[in-house]
Amino acid sequence: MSTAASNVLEVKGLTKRFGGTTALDHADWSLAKGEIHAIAGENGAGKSTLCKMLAGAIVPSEGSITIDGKTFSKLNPAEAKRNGIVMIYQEFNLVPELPIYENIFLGKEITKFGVNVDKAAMIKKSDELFHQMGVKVDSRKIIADISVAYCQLVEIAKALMENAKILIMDEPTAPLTNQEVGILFEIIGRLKERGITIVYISHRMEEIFELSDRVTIMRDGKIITTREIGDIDQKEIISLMVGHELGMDFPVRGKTERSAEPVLSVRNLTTDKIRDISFDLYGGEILGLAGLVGAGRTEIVRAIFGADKIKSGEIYLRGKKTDKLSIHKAISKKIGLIPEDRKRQGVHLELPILHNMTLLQLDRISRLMTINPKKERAGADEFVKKLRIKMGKLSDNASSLSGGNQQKIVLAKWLANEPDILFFDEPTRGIDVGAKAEIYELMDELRSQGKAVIMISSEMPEVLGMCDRILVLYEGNMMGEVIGETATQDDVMTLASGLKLEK
Amino acid sequence: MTANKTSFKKSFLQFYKKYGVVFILAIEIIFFSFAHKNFLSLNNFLSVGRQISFIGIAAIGMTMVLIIGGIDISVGSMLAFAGVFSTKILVDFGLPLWLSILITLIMGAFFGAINGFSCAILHIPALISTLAMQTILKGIAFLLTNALPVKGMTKEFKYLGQGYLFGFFPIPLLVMLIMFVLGTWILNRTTFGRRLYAVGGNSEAARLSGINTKVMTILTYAICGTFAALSGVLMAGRLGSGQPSIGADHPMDVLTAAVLGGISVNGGKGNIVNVLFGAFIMGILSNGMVMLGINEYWQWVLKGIVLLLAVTLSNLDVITED
Amino acid sequence: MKKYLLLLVVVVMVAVMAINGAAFADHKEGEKIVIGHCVMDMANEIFVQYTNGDKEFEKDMQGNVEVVIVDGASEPSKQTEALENFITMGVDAIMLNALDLSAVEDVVHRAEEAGIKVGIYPEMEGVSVKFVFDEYNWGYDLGVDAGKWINEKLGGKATIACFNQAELESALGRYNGYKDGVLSQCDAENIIFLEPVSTVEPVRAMEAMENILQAHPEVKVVLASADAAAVGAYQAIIGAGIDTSDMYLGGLDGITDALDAIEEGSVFRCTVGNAKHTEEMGYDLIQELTKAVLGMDYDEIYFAPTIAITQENIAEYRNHELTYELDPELKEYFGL
Repeated sequence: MSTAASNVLEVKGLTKRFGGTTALDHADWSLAKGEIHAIAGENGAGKSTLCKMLAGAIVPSEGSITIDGKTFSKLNPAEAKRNGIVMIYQEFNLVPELPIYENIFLGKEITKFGVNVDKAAMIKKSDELFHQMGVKVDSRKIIADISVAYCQLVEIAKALMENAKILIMDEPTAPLTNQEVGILFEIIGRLKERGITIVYISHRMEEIFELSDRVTIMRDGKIITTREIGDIDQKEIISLMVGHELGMDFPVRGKTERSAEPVLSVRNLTTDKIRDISFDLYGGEILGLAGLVGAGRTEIVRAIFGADKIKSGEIYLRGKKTDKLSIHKAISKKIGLIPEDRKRQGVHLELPILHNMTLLQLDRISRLMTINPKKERAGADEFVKKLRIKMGKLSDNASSLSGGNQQKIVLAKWLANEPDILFFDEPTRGIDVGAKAEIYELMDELRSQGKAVIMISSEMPEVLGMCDRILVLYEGNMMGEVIGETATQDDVMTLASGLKLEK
Repeated sequence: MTANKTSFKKSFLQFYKKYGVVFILAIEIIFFSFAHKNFLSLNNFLSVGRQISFIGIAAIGMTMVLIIGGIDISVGSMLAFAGVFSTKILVDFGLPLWLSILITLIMGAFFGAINGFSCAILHIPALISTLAMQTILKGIAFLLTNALPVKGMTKEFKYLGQGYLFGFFPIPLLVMLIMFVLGTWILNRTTFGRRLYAVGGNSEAARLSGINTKVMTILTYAICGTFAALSGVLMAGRLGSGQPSIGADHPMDVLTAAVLGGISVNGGKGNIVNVLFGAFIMGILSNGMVMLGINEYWQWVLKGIVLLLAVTLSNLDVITED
Repeated sequence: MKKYLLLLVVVVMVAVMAINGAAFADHKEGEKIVIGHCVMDMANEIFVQYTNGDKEFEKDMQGNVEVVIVDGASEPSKQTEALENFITMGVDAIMLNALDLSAVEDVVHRAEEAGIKVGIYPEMEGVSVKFVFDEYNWGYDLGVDAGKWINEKLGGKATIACFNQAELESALGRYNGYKDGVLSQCDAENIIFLEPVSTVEPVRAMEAMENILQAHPEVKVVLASADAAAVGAYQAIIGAGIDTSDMYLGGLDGITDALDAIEEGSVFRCTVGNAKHTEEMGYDLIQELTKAVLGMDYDEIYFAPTIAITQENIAEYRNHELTYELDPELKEYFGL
């Protein structure tokens, strides 16, 4: 099937480096005309990087892209569109205040006499596009007033307007209901009939098997393999994605006894995003918070940490009821938060590594407001060794570090404060395998020191492998608790989808 | 091929970041030295030094505000207000000089804190809130004086602006150098300076590290107001009277000096020492252009271009990534 | 590396500075004369006119004199800065239309100490050329003209209504000037000056004049220290519908409304204005400074020349064209 003649797109040696990390490593890949091609892989495997380079959103470091026989060393978004490549991102690219038809024709308005915008013609053409897709949409509606599913339809209509030959969709079904997914699949089927090639990024195995002709599996920035869908099964895809048997890398649990009394107790905690959350956290355990994105995991720890407003509920620290905490107070009560979005919330990229690491220690290492450089360096050096941070000089900017090492300096910042309670929010997101293992070890070490740890992660194996207990959330509600050692991914997924466990 | 190009860009960028200001200053000095015979004299440099000291002192405060991600347009009217206010309380109430100055600096801090409050608590964009303050202070300066200069200043006060140390070194220049030492200490060695950079570089990360970003913002604007007020006091001494109508071009000059010194208008970045060179570049530019008999209006055009150029250069890493 | 670069720059600079030494102010023969002129604000048309005169003089001197013009932009600090720059660049003379004397006092004295000839407006002690608008003389000229009228038409006897501007020192000079001018022509016993009305606002002046005409119908002569007030009084007199054939209204400044009224042959008999256009005065001042630099005789006080404008000479005054008079001595000196 994949003979060179029928390929609409070929990629040779395509590589992208960001600073020290390689997001995509010499990828060779091709797309056949009119196929639906799924890409599977874990977070950070390089799926988005590959697709964004095709769409011209990222400039490749090396390699070439050949579209219909024309070869490019890089593309910009306009060039990509001109050559028929359109990508629909997870965050839509629509103007919320404008009606649907104006969004479709944004920048290429139909005009009368070259000046006047011809509204009627644009509405008519928009309706035609939706008709081709087999859906009925009132194209005069304002984007802000329509649902996510409709936004997606508008994006697809935009792509059709641009005569897309290759349509790339990044997890299009993630925000959709089951019924909406069905409609989307029908539309995709129709597009395929018209000879449009679809690239489909998804986590959902069932969808991949239902929809696609071929699947490409990526891991750690490399393309592992591309197979006809009939030649592979779910299990094989998963093991190729993960690259190893689950649970192998995680430290052994149960070495330490958890404390008799809870270190942190939360009762009926309610904010804008979560309702009536109650749980106990003991010293010497890692408690997992699981759930889909937006289920309220992050919001729980942010509320406890004083970063979000609490509407009602009580927090007990070491048995004592505490007033609502400010971040500053939480820190002084030895609570720490490794935030989920490292670049935005964790690390100061433009500041020296040293200054990042000692940000919480300023009062301790200074006298009369003046920082003692010797004390500061000594503290930092200790953590560089302990956490095996790979770096140039302490005075280099944090932006010079790889993702894993950036995360380590965030950890160092918090560990220097000697916290008793530590929240890890997606601690391994976007970092390499080696650094992941080191962070697991470190968390285990904290557990054995009797610290109380909460871990939030979207990577199911990680949660199952690391946590002693796992609380599962769904739309801001606590759905249940499972034991890390005995629970299965299915159990967690069932609870996370808002269903009850049968047993 | 493309790799070569980008590495050239990179090395240019690094060169500019490290030596850019000094390089520009050197070129400027060499150019004017050839262009006018009297340019390169000690007298001229001390005189330029005095002229820029008012810009330089205010630029220290501006630097801090820029680092925290803001901007302060009101330094211009603060120059006029502080001069008028300090002279008036000295003359009308017969306060001793040190007390007049102290009260004026406190007023500067107060109005600066209002700027900070508007930005941090009321979420008014810095450009708008300080522009409003610029007009308010201008109004107060004129109200205090009925638009007439305040006269009757004491000799000691005049000495602060017109006097010389050891008979040749202008006092304002000396004050500016001391203030730069103070500014360097605050920014590079104090806990406040560290937190300032942290808030400016990534305010969310700073907040999650327990730094009260609102208090930091208010404090920073208050410090900026204090430095601006100090430059106003010295300016009054130099003019021998409190002049309500000065300072229209001041914010522009102060901002340009700071940006030339590599302070990013996007916050979080920049080294204060280079701002001193930035101030000298501005001062020498207008000095040299007067010497060459170039029309005042051309100076405005050129200063505007210099500001654009300086911001462009400090933004190069962002631009090259596009 | 940065430190070395900096060090190098500093060393080179200090070395050259040491060789160059302080700036020279003394003019050497055969060298071009450089004059710095700092005006109050170029946004005011009058200063554009001054500097146009500067440029005319520059032209007439055929390259022997250069005038560097700097705009004070209504900021005293800018004027101070401009003067400092003039000093260090080693100009031979400075002309200054000062916004505020207190702000430039120190630097003006430094300039004079450095041997630079300074011309300045307003009056200040210790400078080479004082540019003076002699307010008293302005008023005096008006008073003399009015006195002549009193002797001729009113038999040497008159009650005079006066307008001045009490809060302004210069206006007081004008007021005293026209009173003395009248008395220089007439007998003091026959002249009564009414209490002066303090305003320069036409509407207020009009109302005041109406009241005066009611209270003192014997008033035949009205003198104002500013034409703006005189124009208001003029409206009141015309409005009263009285016989104006023997009445005399006079003002100072020579504003357009006043000139129009005089040209019509109305009761507005006289205003005293500048005899020269601003351009011409600019030319003259730079010329005086140039002479001072060259060590020639020159006028230390340059009075802005005035002229009493009446019905007789108004046509001539209004048709006056710009004329520049180059000093013969300078002409000879440079062989022009």
